[in-house]
Amino acid sequence: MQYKDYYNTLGVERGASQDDIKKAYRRLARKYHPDVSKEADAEERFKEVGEAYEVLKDPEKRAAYDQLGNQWQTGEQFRPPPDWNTGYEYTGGFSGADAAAHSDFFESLFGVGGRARARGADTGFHAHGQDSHAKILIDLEDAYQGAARSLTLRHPQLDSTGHVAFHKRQLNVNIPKGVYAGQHIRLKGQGEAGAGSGQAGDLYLEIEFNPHSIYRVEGKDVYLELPVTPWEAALGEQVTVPTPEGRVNMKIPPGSTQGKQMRLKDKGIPAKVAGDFYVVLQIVVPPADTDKAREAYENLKQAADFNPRQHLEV
Amino acid sequence: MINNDPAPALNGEVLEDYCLSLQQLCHSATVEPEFILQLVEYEVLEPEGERTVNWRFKAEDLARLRRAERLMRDFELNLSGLALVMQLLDERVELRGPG
Repeated sequence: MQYKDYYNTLGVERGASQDDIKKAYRRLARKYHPDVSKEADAEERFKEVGEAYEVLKDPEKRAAYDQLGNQWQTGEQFRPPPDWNTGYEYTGGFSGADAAAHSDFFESLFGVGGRARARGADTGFHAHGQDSHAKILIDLEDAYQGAARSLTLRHPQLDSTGHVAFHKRQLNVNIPKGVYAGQHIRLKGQGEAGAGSGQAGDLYLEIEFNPHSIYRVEGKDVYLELPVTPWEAALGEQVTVPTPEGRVNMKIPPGSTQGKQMRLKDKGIPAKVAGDFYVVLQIVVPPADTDKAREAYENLKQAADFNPRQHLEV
Repeated sequence: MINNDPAPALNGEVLEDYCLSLQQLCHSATVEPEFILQLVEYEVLEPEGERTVNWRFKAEDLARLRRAERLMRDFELNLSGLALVMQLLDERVELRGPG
């Protein structure tokens, strides 16, 4: 696996004091913590920072890590020496950080032994499994037509040696017609396994839409920005408009202005009470890039005699 | 022809306004009820209902609870600090939009 230079990650010297290490961590945590950070790769960086701090802040782990020596660079192929880890005992377990989020490098050095919670099968302990929650991403079209979607769930699980492994589970779920973001689908018995002969918990999937290239969804209502020309808006026009259910003909009334919303009732998400579909007019100004176009504009300027800034009194 | 179809698609129940009780929230987030009581005290979480037995949390409260846990742990916050951070983060989302 690949070596990780934890000192480098925190930006401190190998001989740094515990205080320096704490300060470096705090500074980087404020910068990269996913809940507060504006950085693009925050989550990944924070995991690295968190892991480095976990090792270096604990004198025992830091000593063990230093024992490896300083001849490796981050990314280099590495294997711990065979008699690694003899004589060191890790007390105090781990920080609240998700044990399953450690790198292979960390796992090979420190394992998860200190934290294993025995769940013996013969303790006679029976409990209903916990409910799980997850998000399922669907397309807007799925809400109109229904669809089968798959998702992969990852549960950290302790194996027999007390190491954490990710147990992947793929589920296929029928998405019924008419669902919308924020609703939940409950799948009975698909949550965490129960203990002993306890029943498994339920899985709750929260529905979320993938961003759509042309539509915007708000609740059950769907919005489409429709570009139109100034003459279509001023004079009115029949236009064809896309909707998730197919093309629709609409009449743009004469005298339409920028931002005008036209509602197609019940053409939003087909829930029990269907949402509406709104077409929002965006008037686009054609460029005056040919002589004919320029002339047409000049004529319109003369004919229209129109001052949109009148109310500003400038 | 070998059928390589994955597992058959599951059908679930669609829930309109899915709410969690205090107990369900504790189970889902693996926290002690006392912690949630404190978060409600500091208005970090605002369930519907008058008494703890009647509390109804929204599904997004689960994510909010996990965020509160992470922030407290990673930034060594006390409850009032946490409440302030959560409020400022909420305001930031409102100013710039999510994500």
